[in-house]
Amino acid sequence: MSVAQPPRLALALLEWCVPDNEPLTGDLVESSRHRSAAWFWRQVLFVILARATFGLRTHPRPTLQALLVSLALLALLGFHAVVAANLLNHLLVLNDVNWMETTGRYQRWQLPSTVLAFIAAVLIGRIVGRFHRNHRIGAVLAFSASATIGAYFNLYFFVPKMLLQPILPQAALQTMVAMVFVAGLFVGIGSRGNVAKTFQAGSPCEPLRS
Amino acid sequence: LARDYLTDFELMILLAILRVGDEAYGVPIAREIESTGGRAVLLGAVYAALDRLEVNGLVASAVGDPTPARGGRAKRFFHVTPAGMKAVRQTQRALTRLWTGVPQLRGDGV
Repeated sequence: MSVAQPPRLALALLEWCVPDNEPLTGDLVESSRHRSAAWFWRQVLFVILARATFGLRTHPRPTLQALLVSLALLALLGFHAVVAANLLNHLLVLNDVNWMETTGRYQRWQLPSTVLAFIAAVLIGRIVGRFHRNHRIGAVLAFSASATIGAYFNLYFFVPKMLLQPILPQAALQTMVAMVFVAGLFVGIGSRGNVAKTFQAGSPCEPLRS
Repeated sequence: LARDYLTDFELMILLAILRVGDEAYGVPIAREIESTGGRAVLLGAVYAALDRLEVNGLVASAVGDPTPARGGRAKRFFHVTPAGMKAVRQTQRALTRLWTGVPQLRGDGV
């Protein structure tokens, strides 16, 4: 089946992963008119893979550094979101013996960990605000959503007896508990420059020159 | 790592650029390889090879004006540099020497 327009998601993925190769994107859009969506997806996935291997060959050190930093940042986000989740979970089920048995008991070490999680969220928020000056809110929401999903899946798979609970309370609980982390991110972002600038229409994300 | 020989795909791309001429950007280059080379190509593979050739100084490129037909995206036109022409000729001579004197390829037998 041929499509008049390329798949939006594939196009967005291409422009996000390979933002500096406009001619290639244009060539793919031009060629996609009489091709299927599967053809376009295949092309996009190959371009992303080729870009990664080309970067590794030509600039191995910065590419590996970027990869490791990205993985570390993801791990930090997931860990701190889970810690925040555990603290609020404790607050919510403090007097509910049934929930305590289901989700595990609150450990003393989790309080300082949660404080550290909040501080880490503030620091991450500052970084986000620095590199995405014109899209701070969007960047925080994207980070928060990914952290929330990660925390939810962590608890879903690793907390004993979690599977026995109905899905809605779990989702509501995880949505609430991730707010500690989100709050930290917003505090971090608000601590740098004028927050009002966030809501101005701006140019695409770009790192600060200074 | 820099290499002093061309892969078959790089050679096909250089020849396709030469055949297409002034309008050599990604789409016609890929189309030329598909039609004359009889093989399907991925545009990403074409660009990866072109980037490699440009790093090695065998091709050069210039970005044209944005066009509405491509969603306001510009074309990147390629041309073969003198070093690229030299590499193509060297490869042609090497392949010709290899082909010459192969008994199985003599005449019109398959």
